[in-house]
This record gives sequence, structure tokens and C-alpha cells, in this order.
Amino acid sequence: MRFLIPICLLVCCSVYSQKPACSCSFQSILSAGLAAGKSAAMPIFQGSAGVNFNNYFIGIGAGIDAYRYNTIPIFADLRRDFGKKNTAFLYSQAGYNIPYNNESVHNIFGATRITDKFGGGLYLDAGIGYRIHLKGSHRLLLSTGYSYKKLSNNVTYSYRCITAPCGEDRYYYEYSLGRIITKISWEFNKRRMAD
Amino acid sequence: MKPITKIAALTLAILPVIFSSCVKDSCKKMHTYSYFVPVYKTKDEVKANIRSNSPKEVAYPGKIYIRGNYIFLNEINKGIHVIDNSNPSQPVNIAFIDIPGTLDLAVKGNTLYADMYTDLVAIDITNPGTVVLKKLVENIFPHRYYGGGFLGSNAQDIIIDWVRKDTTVMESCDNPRGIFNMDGRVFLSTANNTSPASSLGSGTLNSGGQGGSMARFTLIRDRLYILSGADIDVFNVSNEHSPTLSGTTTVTWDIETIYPFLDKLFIGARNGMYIYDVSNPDVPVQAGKFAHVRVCDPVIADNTYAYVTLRSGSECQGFTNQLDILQLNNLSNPSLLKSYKLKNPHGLSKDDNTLFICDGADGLKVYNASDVNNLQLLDHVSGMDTYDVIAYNKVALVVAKDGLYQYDYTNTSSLKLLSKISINKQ
Repeated sequence: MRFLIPICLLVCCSVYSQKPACSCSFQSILSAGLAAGKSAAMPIFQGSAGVNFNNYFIGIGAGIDAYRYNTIPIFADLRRDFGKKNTAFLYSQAGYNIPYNNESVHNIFGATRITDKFGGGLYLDAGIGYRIHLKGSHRLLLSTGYSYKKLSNNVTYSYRCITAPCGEDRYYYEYSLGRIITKISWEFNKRRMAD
Repeated sequence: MKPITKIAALTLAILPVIFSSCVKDSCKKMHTYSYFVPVYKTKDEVKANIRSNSPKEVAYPGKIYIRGNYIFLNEINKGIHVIDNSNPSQPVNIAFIDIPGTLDLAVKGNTLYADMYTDLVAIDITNPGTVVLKKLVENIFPHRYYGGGFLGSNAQDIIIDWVRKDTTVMESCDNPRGIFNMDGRVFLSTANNTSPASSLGSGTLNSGGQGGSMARFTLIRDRLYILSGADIDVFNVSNEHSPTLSGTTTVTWDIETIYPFLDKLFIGARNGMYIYDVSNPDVPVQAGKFAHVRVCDPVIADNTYAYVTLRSGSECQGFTNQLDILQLNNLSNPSLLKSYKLKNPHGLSKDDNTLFICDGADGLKVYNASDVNNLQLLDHVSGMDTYDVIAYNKVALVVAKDGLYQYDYTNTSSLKLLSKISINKQ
């Protein structure tokens, strides 16, 4: 995943540097929404950037996902526009979500030490949306879809005793979280490369 | 807004409501718990093995005693490492004396005394490479017991080790965790006793050698004084190889450390420091007491002052972390002269006017104590979690969580690391 960002940036830069050869544009999408699942409804925020050509958008993005456990999804973003004036679109995002700000170490009465560590996992989001054209190159997107995130959690209970070694409980959790995601997005083009 | 836009917006808003009940969160949970199974040997087998066996790596260091060129380092509940310290820059671990259940030690002449669960052993260490068990006194420490009140399946056998067993089971994610999910299991620690595990090191000067400030065994002339439960047990060791119980004096529960000076015993307890007069060696008599808040408090003393470190946390409770210096002009009523704030002080040692304090994770601190009203920090060795220190003959022996350090303090403003014996917990 570490190589994805520079590669995509390179792709974007190369698109900028190329002479106009197709109906391409550099496009950014900023989204805010709600992830609703069995456990809760929590806010999400995303940003994607990429290239739009021949009704396809391909880009990369990152976000903040607070559903159950805080994660930062990093993903590839693929979209297909269709309909009159491209008012409808399908989107799919696939990547990896990185846990953040979940880890903790605390003691209970100095007798038990609890260590909480999280591991990342697969991130998927796919759905359908509707585009409302605003002024100039700005558009408002409404979308809904199914999202899935996977992550793991290692919890260790270390019990204090008078002399070591002391008892220990270790728990490994694997979470597979499905949600319906509704987003409202602001989409804009930086420049029209074929114009 | 165009009608199609309204329809699209409405549809997209309704879809999540309809489908949110279709999605689910799934959770798999694996629970791995550890418990310990005792390994037994008969008492005869254990006695036969109390000798100089092959050296072992230090894993869980306990109290320490220096005698001549040798360091005797307790391996908690396992035995005693014999370390040839002729060259403090290059100490050599030469042997290991297997003594299951041992936590404390003291040396008089050529005899090492150590506890073995409820028993006391006397070992001839004339030649530390080939030590010989001389006597075993049974049932001296009735307060010793295994963790969880576990007594073993056979009182004649001795637990020499615990084998860790890990078991992994799949559980429902709804099951509670940790202490709320014991399922009737019992976690057995290797042993339990009335002294905290962090009571490392010992601090007394006698004919046999020197220990640190956190000892529960100490010697004055021909008597071995041992803290056992709420009591001071007195052993007559005029015949070194044959200690005999000669007296018992009850002090209070929570007594933790004992330090001798001249004909006085300074006893650190969680609620204060006690001074006992041993003019009559078999009958210690309380000469004074200084009460303080409920914390752990190793103590050392000289002609004029007692130095008491008070620390909080876990088994010690309380919220006080400081050095108290007490005036001993009137032994029946020691008075607080001055307190110095510290982080988490443990053991301490004093050589002439140089005071060494193990300040837990804040390392080792060296003070000029020529004016007790104005201690001057001379050096601060950080980067180690220190328990106890013995300063002797210009070498400071420091027990820390990650090893046994030796520092040259010829220049008290700049301690020089001579050596480190690392701890290997596998």
C-alpha cells in the first residue's frame, strides 16, 4: 500500500504533463457521509483524486472512518458515469484500512495491565450515485452503497503476581464490519485536458 | 430542484434505511490463556541438588549479597547465582545453587543462609565453586504459601518449577474478558509470600559481607534476624552451620525490610519505620517508631540519621514518592528533618557522604549528603529501571530490570560503567 500513493501521484503528474490527447480531466472528490450498520451510525470523511476519461474515473483516496473502531482507509477509486449528462454513476473503492487512535495500555488497581493493539485489514466500498451539476466545473454527488472493513484486535491481560511468571490472558478478535454508506460529495475538475 | 433530482435524492436517502438491516458485523474471538502446572521433587532430591551446579543465565533477579570477591544473586524462587567478581569489569557467573522457593539470603563468615519456602537452609560457601548444604531447619516461615493458597498435592514434595501451559479456545465475542472471564480457572503464580517481588537487594554490613536496603534477612554478630510475617525471628548462628531459633518478637504486619546499625535494627514497614534495640540479641525491644503514610519504605541509617525512601504504586499503595531524612538524636522519637521529592524511589545505599538512590524508572541518583538539609545531586544515571544498590569499595552494584550493573564511583560526579550482566527471560 505504501507504493500506491507515489505511483498514483506519478500517474496524476504524468497526466498533467502530457499533451492533450484525449478527453481527460483531473478530478477531485471530497465526501462526507454516514456509515450505518448493525452496531451504530458513524460519520465518515473521504477525499479522492484522479483522472476522468471517457466516462471513467480512476483515482486514489483516503479518509476517516469512525464506525466501531477508528480507521484510516486508503483506497483505489474507480467510477463509471452513465445516463444523460452523466447524471448517474457507479463507484467502487478497494484498499486497506489502517487503525488509529484505538490502542491503549491501562492498569486496573495496579494489579492487571491491559494492552490493546489493533491491526488493519481490507476496505471495500461500492455503490451508486447521482450527480447534480452546479456552476462551472463543480458538481454535487449523492451516493449510497455497501461498505466493508476488516480489522483485528489483540488484547492482553497481564496479571500481576508476587513473583514472575504471572498469568496472562490473550484475546484475538477479527472484525468484519458491513455498513450501508450514504455520502454527499463535492466533485470538481482542475482542468479540462482535451479542451 | 428538478423532479428527477428530487427522486434520485429521495431514493438514495431511502436505500440505506431499507438495507441497513441487511448488513451485519461479524466477530471471531480466540482466547489464549496461560496457567501453570507444578513440577515436584521430593525433599531428599531437592536437598541433594543444593550444591554448585552449572551456571544459569539470570532471568528473574532478586536480592543480592556481596561477600569478598563474590556476588550471591537470588534468582527468585529458583536459587542463587554465584558470580566471581574479582574483576568488576568482567564478572563471571561460575555456579548456580538450586534452592526452590528462595527469596532472601544473608552471609555470615563462610555460611550462606537462605529460605526455601517454609524452611531455612545453611550452606557452606567456603569454596563458592563447590558449596555444601550443612543444615535445613524446617517450618521456619509458616507464612509462605504458593499463589492462590495452593499447597501442592503432597506436603512432602517440593515444587521446584512451574510449567506454563497455553490453551487457545474459540469464544463468543459477547463473553466478558479478563478477570471477569476466569471460567473457574486458577492462575498460579510461582509462589507467594509477604515480601513484594520488587524487594530486591539487601543492605547490611557485617562480618560476612554486604547486602542492600531491601533485605528481610540480616546479621548482627552471632544472630541472624529474619522478618517472617509480623515477626522478627532470631537465630543463634554462633555455630555458623547450625542455626537455632533463639527468639521471636512480634512487630506488626506489613514489615518489609530490615537494616542493622550497631546494636539497632531499623525495620521498614508500610505504615512507618521501627527501631529495635538488640542489646539483648535474642529479645529485640522496640526503641522507637516513626509513622508515615501507607507506602513501601526501605531504610538505611548511620550514626545520626535514618534515610527512608517512600514509594507508592501497586502493592505499596499510597501516593508518596520521596526521601525522608530522620534525625536519630532521640531514638525513642525519631523526627523528620527534611523530605526530598523523587519519582519512585526503591533501594538506597550510602558510602561516607555519598548517597545512592534507585529511583525506579528514573534511574540511579547520586547525592552529596554531607549536608542532609541540602542534598546535592552529583550524578544521574538514567536509562535503566533500578531496584536496589549496594555501594561498597568504590563499586556500586545496581540491580535493574534489565540487568545487574556495576559502576565505578571513584568520581562521584561521573559514574563509570564497569560491567553489566544482562537478564535473559527467554
